[in-house]
Amino acid sequence: MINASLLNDIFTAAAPMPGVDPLGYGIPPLLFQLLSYLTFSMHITAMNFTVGGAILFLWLHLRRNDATLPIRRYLGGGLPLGMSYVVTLGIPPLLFVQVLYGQQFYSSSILIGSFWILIIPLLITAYGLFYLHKLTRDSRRSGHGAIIFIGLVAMLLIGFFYVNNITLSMTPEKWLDMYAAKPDGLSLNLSEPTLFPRFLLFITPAIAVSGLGIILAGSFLSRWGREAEASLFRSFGVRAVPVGFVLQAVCALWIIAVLPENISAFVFAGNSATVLLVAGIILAALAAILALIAAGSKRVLPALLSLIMAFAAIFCHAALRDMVRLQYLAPVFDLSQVPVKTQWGMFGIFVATLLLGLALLIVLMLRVFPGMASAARK
Amino acid sequence: MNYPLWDLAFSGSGLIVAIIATIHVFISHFAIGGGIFLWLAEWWSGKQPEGAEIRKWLHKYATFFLVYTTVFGAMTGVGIWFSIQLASAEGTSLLIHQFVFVWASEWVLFLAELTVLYLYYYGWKTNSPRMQLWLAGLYALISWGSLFAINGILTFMLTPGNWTLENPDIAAGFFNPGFWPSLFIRTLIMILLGGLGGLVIASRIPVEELKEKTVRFCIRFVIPAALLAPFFAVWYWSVLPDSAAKLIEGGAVGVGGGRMEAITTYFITAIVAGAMIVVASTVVYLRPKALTFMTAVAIFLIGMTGVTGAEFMREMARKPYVIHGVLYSNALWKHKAADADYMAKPYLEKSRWHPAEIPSSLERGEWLFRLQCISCHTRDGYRAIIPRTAAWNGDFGVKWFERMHEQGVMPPFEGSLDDRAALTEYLLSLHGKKENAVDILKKLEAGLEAEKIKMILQEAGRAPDALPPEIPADEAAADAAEDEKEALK
Ligand code: HEC
Ligand code: HEM
Repeated sequence: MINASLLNDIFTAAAPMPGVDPLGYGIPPLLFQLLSYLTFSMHITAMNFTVGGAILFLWLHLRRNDATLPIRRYLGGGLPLGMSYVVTLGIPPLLFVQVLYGQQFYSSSILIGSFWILIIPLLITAYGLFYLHKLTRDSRRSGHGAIIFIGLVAMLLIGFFYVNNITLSMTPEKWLDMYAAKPDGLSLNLSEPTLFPRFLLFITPAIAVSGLGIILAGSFLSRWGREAEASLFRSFGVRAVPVGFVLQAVCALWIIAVLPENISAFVFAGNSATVLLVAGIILAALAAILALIAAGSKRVLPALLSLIMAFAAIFCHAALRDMVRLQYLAPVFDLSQVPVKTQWGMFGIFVATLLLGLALLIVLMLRVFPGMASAARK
Repeated sequence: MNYPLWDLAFSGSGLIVAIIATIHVFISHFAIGGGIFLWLAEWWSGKQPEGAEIRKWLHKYATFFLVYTTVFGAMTGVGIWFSIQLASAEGTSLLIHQFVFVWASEWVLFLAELTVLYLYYYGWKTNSPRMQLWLAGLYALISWGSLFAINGILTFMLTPGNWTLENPDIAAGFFNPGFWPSLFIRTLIMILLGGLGGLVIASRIPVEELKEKTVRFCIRFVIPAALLAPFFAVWYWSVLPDSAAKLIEGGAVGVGGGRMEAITTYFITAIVAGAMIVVASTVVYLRPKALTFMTAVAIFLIGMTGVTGAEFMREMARKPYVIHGVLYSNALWKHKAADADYMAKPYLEKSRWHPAEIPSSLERGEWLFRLQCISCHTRDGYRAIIPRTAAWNGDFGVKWFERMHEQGVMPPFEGSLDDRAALTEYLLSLHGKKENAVDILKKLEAGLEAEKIKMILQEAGRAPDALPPEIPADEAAADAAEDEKEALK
């Protein structure tokens, strides 16, 4: 009959690593990875423009030099637009990370759930404040430093929660204890040694990237015959670029120092990860050199090339980051565990939609921008 | 049971999803309807003699529209993702893996929609009127396209139709029985909200004749949409799974109190809101000049209440599933629930997220509660378990779990008899009642023993009234055993 003694049994829990989703991958995982690197790099680039824009805005705001007003207007006016693309370009990597690494990503998201959900009000706060700044900057004089500052802090918190989540998703050995201690999602991954350097590794280049954006804006101003503003933009932009890159290099050394041994051994083993690392460094250096050239030129091309190099460097970083993630997870997970059940037809529909969408946007931009440019011309 | 559950006090994860989703649904429908409205208003303003004045009003509308739909609409849309991930990871995973390219295509539409909106808004001064008309039209079209895409996934959750886990046919899942009625009803609601948004801005136009014209223009969207919506609602109703329709009707399922009232309230809210909008709009149409800003805002808010009611009703209708007939809200798969042996195994052997050592039955009960119930209940907040178990005692609880799914809103209990006793112990402990799981089981055993003896006695032709109810079950059993011995002598 009833066996009440069972009540005192010890249950050895099954491994907390969730089982694979029964529907599997809709296309070979490598394709998902490539799509993810591409869109994630775009997300991080937009994030760098926006975070960097807010930082440089505040820097100039605090120094209260009337001469830099055009740069402040440019940066402050761009924040809402930047923010909206940070989010929009964050959506596809959010989709793909759930497809590729759902087992890890959902788990870690729930473990930090109460912080994770805060991202939504933080997003609304930052975005709303950036619009508030833009829509009221001509009618109300004071308070704009505080508005942008709070918006920036909100953005940084979002990034910080992201880094907590992603690092936690790579270290499943922490999960059970964490969940038992705080099932309410009030945990963060603060014990993670790579947490802060990793966060800063993403944030510091923002200063460089938005510096590049300012140089590019300067080159357009030259084209529109607004030379005085143009040289102001260029000379400020070119000073920001090295600051960002140097800070990032410091963070890179920091993170290498704290990576677990097997991971740093993997990165320096002379494999494709090493290639990505070296390529990233070279591309960033190229971006910096091109920025110097662009600062002395009135043409758009060098500034544009410099940004493209920076984007390529971010792409290498994104790919390297994913290989490191797989290395962390190697003892318990690899992509071949998940069955591939192809949905080529659906993939085709997506590709067609994407191509059509991009074509439409390009056509529209080609028709709208000339009008805007001629209005901006002196 | 793959993922941990977010054990959030007070609101629980479900209410967070509901709040974010309701705000989002409202704003996103307004975003699409407002887009159609912008386009028609662009076209209309071009034909009016005071076109330039109307375009000033239109620019205000566009600014409000831009900030409201991108800051609040788009961000709460991302919010839905964040919250469903936390509230039902397993279900989200299924939806994402099945519809990844629908979602990816939807994202393309979203990117296009956003960019077109920016080209329209930031090109206000420099674009030709023709270009503006094109952009507004494209915006409306593309954003309706994104509704088309997401509508397939949303309705899939309630009416998956011929889609099954064994034969996951994407087309069948996407164009499921709920797809068309839902698409139509959502389109109507969009148009209605677009018009209501227009009223808010129109109410502030200082020039009398212009205000009159604009207000009437807006009402021409509102009234037909509000009048047609109920017909499509009936159609949608007709495709709902039986159990869901019954839930809404409030019949058939024999549960008392709260839920039935709640769901009927949502339904009535939606109807009343619709009726109020028709009446108010008719009045405003007849006397457009009398429309004040506050009245317009009030009508707008009534619209919001109605949509909220309808959305909550849809959410309720899905209970106890995330994906109807496939996956329960607490991550139990329907096909596993059909396997009695599997269901009766000790729960914690199958689950992944509890500590390796659980020293007491009380803690075991807490883990069972967390892993099986927390997706719908909190302890003392939203849909609190404490008041709902106020009248429980030990063996009532253990027996209740056997039949909990019969109410139609909850999944079956998963676990052994010991599990049921442990969970009962935990639930009782929330009331400060101390009843150990082992004692509960002993009593139950005695009770069963007594039952059995009663049956034997009945078969032997003796009257079954020998057990006065006030005797505790184990004593009763002992007595009965005595009786039995006597009878056998
Ligand atoms: C799918 C969501 C869901 C899950 C999972 C769920 N419940 Fe419920 N439960 C409901 C709903 C809905 C109601 C009825 C509405 C109400 O009472 O507000 C309800 C009602 C109840 C009631 C009151 C019943 C009555 O007859 O008055 C109790 C007690 C209860 N649940 C206990 C539990 C326990 C214990 C668990 C975990 C084993 C659980 N529920 C799991 C959704 C759920
Ligand atoms: C607005 C402020 C934001 C900032 C500052 C920010 C910053 C970051 C950073 C630093 C990372 C890297 C995390 C790591 O690898 O440790 C990251 C990753 C990511 N971000 Fe953002 N983010 C922001 C908003 C968003 C939003 C709104 C979304 C979704 C819509 C998003 C989607 C993602 C995704 C999916 C990843 C991980 C991709 C992967 O692991 O493959 N981000 N973000």
